[in-house]
Amino acid sequence: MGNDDLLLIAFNLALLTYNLGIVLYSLPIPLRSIKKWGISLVIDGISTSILISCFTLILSLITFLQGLLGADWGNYFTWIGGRITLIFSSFSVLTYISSLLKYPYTPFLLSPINVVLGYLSTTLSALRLLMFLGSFILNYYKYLILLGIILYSLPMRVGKNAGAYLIAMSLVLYVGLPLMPAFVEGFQTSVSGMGVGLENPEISGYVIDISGGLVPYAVLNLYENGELKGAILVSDSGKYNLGSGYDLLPKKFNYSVELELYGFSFITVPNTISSEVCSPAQSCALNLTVPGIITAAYGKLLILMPNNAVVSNFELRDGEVSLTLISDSNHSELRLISVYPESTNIRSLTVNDEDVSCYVSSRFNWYGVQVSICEVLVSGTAARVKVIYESLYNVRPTINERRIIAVDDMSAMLMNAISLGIAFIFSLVFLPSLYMTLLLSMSASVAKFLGGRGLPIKIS
Amino acid sequence: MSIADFVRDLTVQVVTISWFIFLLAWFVGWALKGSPVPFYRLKRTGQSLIEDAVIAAFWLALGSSIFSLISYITSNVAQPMPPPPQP
Repeated sequence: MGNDDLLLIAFNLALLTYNLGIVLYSLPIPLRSIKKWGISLVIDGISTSILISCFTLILSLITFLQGLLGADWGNYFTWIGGRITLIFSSFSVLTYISSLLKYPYTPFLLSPINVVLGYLSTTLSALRLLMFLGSFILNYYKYLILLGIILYSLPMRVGKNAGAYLIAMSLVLYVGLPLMPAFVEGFQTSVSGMGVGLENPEISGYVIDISGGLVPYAVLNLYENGELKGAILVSDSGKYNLGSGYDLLPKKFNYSVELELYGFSFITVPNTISSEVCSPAQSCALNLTVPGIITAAYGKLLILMPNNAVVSNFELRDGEVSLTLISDSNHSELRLISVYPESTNIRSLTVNDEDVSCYVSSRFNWYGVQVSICEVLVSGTAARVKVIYESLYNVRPTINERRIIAVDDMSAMLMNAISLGIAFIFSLVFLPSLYMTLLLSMSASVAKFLGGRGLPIKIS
Repeated sequence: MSIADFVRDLTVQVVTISWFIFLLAWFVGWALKGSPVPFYRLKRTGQSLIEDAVIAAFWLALGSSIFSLISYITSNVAQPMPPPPQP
């Protein structure tokens, strides 16, 4: 059924109304009220026919007003799409933050995040509603006006109010709704740079020994001003991760690094990790070299380098390590210390092709790993050392990691997120609702002008 | 039968009824006015019934003309709008 058919129905209804009015007027019943009723029906019929004939006029009036006010539907949908994208990005950032807070000592931070997430989902549904309303009005405003006209032209004023309101509403919304971005933008001042800024760097890298081999299952102790801030276990592939879903690093930090392996502590190069490493990038790689050790077979054998010697001719084969120690001073003897967990067996140790008995000087427990130390005294300025060992399995220290959660920065960020959520609610729920209320009350006024009832409450 | 046809048929019936009611009112009016009863108010009622019937018949006869006049005027008014002023 096209526009013309609907208009034809409305026109016939108007004629019917007119004739009914005349019937009532000419009834031979001497009652004034019936005659008045007839007169008003006649007037209704005429006014309805005027309204029907003005249908094209109303449509062109709408277009005219739209051009006059600079309303653009494309702009409206782009604006809403942009806001939806913004909310989605904030959503993902916040869910990321809440995924960071899986450690048992940070549950107090979770509830404000959930509050903000609730705000965001409310805003998202409001925006979806606006999107739906916009496309509904844009596609069906003609039909709404036609429906309004038909309701308007029903005899006996059955649907006059509803029809007038439908016509007025589609007129006002079609012109007014695309102007909402301008209205909202005019009121939002503090939310111009919306978006959750998560300045949480990620630093990752490998721990490398003197020979370039990876050092797995070591513990990185991070100190700041002499206070232990974090204890991080290096993975079985020798990689450590700082940030990246495990830590919430503060904006500015400078940690001195100490590597702990089998009860020994080593200095790394570089020996600090600071926030300057990544700046301005968010994630970066930083390898830590440990000059004092050689690890073999994925950390199952650890050889501590003497301070007064350098290593050359290093060779690592399956189950065999050979190296040449060159003494750089006049010391006649070098102390070579080998450390290994209980899963490693040292078969033989030769110095300058002579078998040396490696006696275990001590045995202790390091994070649940039984560690043995054997010491060998090497004499001469250059010594060829060869260790043949057998290793059975990997041993993982049972350490409770101490991850870094910067609570001060965290709370600032949360406050930021909460105020952002409130700003979203204000600018994308409250302001559009206010605007819709304005538009609907305006529609009621226009409906009154068209012959409807107007606002149910009297404002003035 | 479409809704438009139905409404149009209804209108035709109402117009027919309306003419009969005009005649009825006319006769009733004259009967009241000419009745040999010395009540002034009764004669006044008959007079007003006749007047109303005549006015109603006039508007009934003029009905289609009024609607076509409205259509004519509005179709002349509903010319394309001039473009809005550019700021």
